[in-house]
Amino acid sequence: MAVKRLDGITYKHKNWITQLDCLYECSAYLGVPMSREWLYGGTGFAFLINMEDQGQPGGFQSFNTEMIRNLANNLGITVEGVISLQTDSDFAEKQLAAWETAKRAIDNGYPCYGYSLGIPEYYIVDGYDDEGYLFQGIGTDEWEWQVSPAATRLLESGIANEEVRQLAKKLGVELSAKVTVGTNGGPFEIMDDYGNSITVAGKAHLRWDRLATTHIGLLEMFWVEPGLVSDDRVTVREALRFALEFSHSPRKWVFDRYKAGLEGYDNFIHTFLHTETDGFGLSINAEAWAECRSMAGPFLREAADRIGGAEAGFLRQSAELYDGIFEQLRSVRELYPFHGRKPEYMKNRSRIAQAVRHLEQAKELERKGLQSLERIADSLS
Amino acid sequence: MSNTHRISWIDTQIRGGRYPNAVTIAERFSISPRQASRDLEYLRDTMCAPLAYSHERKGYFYDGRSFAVANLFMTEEQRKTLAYLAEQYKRMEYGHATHLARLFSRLVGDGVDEEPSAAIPIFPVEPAILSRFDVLSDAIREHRKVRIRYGISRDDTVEVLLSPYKIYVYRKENYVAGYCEPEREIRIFRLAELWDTIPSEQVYDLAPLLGRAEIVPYLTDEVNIAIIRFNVSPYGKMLGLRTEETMPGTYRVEYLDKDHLIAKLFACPSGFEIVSPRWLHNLVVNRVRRMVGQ
Repeated sequence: MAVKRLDGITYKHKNWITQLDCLYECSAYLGVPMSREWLYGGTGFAFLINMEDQGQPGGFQSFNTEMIRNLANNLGITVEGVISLQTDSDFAEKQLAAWETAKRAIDNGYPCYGYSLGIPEYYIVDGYDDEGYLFQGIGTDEWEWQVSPAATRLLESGIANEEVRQLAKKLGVELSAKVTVGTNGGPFEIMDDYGNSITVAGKAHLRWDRLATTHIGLLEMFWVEPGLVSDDRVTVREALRFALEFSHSPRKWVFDRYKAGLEGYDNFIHTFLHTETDGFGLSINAEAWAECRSMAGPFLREAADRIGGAEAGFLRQSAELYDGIFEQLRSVRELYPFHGRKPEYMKNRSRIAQAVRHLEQAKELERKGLQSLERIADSLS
Repeated sequence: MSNTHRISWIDTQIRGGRYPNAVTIAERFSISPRQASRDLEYLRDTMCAPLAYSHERKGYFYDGRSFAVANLFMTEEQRKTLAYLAEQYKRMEYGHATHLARLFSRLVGDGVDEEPSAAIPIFPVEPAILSRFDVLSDAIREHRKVRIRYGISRDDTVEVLLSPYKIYVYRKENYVAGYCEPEREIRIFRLAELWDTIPSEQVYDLAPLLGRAEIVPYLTDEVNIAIIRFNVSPYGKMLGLRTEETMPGTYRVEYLDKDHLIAKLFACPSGFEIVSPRWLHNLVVNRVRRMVGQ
């Protein structure tokens, strides 16, 4: 079977915002230099929050992410691709278009990335064979959580044996008796009825006609090329303007039942206080949004260094606010970690009250943060 | 012939002491005895008639308690309206709506078997939306324009003159599609986001409007803004989007889809420059370079 693969592209360090991981690694491969913080901030992602009103896990993926890719055009790359839903009448054509587009891009030396080739995350597509995509990301070749071939065969049948459970324990996860094994033919996502989840390595290959055929049904396949770089003032201004507009939950970007900005924090708090949940959604959102805010302060400081002048002072002041927001969200993350969270945490009123206090404080800092971003965007106009 | 008509006839026969049976019903309506039997089962099981068989008279009678079959005659339009309502409420998937769906289905003879387990509550649909529905339905039937105000909230609305074409239901929501003036667009609006629907005396003819209308396939009115400079100024007004000339030759352009905007710009024979947003400018340059092989 003929295989075409791009040499030298790697995806070692996995963060929670895997779409930005892919953009970062693809940019690095193309020789377009930028820090992770500049990418998070320059796409606006560092300043976003998006929460569903019942604590659904996918807030950091469940919005119209088109502007993230649009703003990447300020950073020295351009992102094009195919998007579809499995329910669209032209889904089959889009699936084929995604396949042909990815092959053509790779033939031209451009890396690709797509959604849910393994588990529902973004993966770098760096090659193909006669049948499908070759990819890197969570749960692929260099994934640290691997099991034996025998255990893998059982996972393919939906069974998580003792070896898998012992692996989970090493991560601080005590899987309950009732587990489900999700796979698209590659990496395995094992979830129990307490909301615990681990990912175990699987094949990094997906038949092209299996793309977007899982329960989520979202087809996204993009390729990345080098492009123009905008002036730093423009880059920062346009990213902040997007983040400010997003914070008002406009329907063109924010889906039904989700809220962004300060109302996003309200949904977060509401879920802790009033929703019966196993904590899976709350913990993964805490991880993701803490990660975003961890990038916001450094981005603003980098912007201050790049832009200088009077705006540098505003940028550094704003960075302090966002460092504070990160500290609050990090505290929530520590109270409700994705790995190591115990079922009784969701019934522990004291723990819940602590998390809610941190979110309330984060919200108040966010209010000031958004005001500071408004002032900065105005000054850069 | 719907079974409501046959049910009504069977009821009349029983009250008249004429003891109808499956054979006499089948002969009367040129249907099979099996179908006639189903009508009798429907009368007994669904309409709870105290139906009993007399072996002596070889036909059916009402046994004991008083019973009345409501007047079930309706026009075809009425039947379609009830069928439509049944479908609407079926989609709502909660208790009260489900009861109403069963009731309306039963009235049109769709053979719903289950009995509701609770009393039918007060009609749950918002009166304001019903009012808009009625105004628009009348306007569609009479080909009259309607002045509407729309927006996510009452504080932030836009007024247009709408020539409504059709009302649709999609995912439990009602929408109206029509031609908008002065924008010259064909758009779809959620009835829940129409704040005023005032019928006018103006009539419309849809066909001529379609030829010069821009179809806007989005619900939202949350536009994006681009600032574009045209080498030949009038092309900004001819772009087919909402534009405002802020300086000679420079326009503030409202757009919803960037690829749609780019396609329109490339159709413009004069040169142009995307002043902002910068990412859009870069995207267009990157695409052009790809196309010419740079």
